[in-house]
Amino acid sequence: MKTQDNSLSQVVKKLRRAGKIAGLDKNRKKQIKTFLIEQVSGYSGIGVEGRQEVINFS
Amino acid sequence: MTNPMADQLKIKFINIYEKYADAIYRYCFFRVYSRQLAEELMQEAFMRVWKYLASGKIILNEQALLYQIARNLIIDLSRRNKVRQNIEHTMFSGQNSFDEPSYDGKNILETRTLLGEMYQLMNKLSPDSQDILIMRYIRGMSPKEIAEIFHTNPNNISVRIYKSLKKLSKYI
Repeated sequence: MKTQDNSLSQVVKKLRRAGKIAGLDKNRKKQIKTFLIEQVSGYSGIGVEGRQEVINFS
Repeated sequence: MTNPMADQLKIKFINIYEKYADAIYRYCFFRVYSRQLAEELMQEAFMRVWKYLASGKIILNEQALLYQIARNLIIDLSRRNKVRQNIEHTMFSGQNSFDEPSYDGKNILETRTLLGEMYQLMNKLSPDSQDILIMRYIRGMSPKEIAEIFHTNPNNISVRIYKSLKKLSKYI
């Protein structure tokens, strides 16, 4: 039982370690943010004009 | 945009981006194993969120919506075989084992080895099980939060996490 617990925690450790090295570069995050802001600026739609509809997503 | 409603929406959108950009990127990265492709998917996911907001819809669970959109984008890509082709190209081209993410000074070889192991390991699981493990251990989401994305109950997610870990432990 202990051996099995150990090997499960090894998997978790590996996943967490991999997660830490694969982050989004801060500069790229800023660049993408700037790009998205440019894209959404000037966008017109129902919500932009003030009418809203609730969607129950979850 | 010049009207106050539009400005308010834009601020909301930026806040959502700041809160979830890194998480959605990591999720996409561990499904496609390419920095560039993960960035493109993440960007597209946020554009779709913007379209939801701009069309007048109120999003009650931003996190669930973003993951759902990202999952659908990855499924679309997989159907077109682009993910597999990309992974095989980057893994076996002999030049770059992976299109590595930023590694903040960490040993490049170590990073590549770890990502290669991750790919081999995760490939033993179904796409849904991969998603669940990524959300649980890379993003640190609770089974309850993951259950909201999969439209199921937290117990079911906990069982799936345990079974997936057990399966992977055979290969460690």
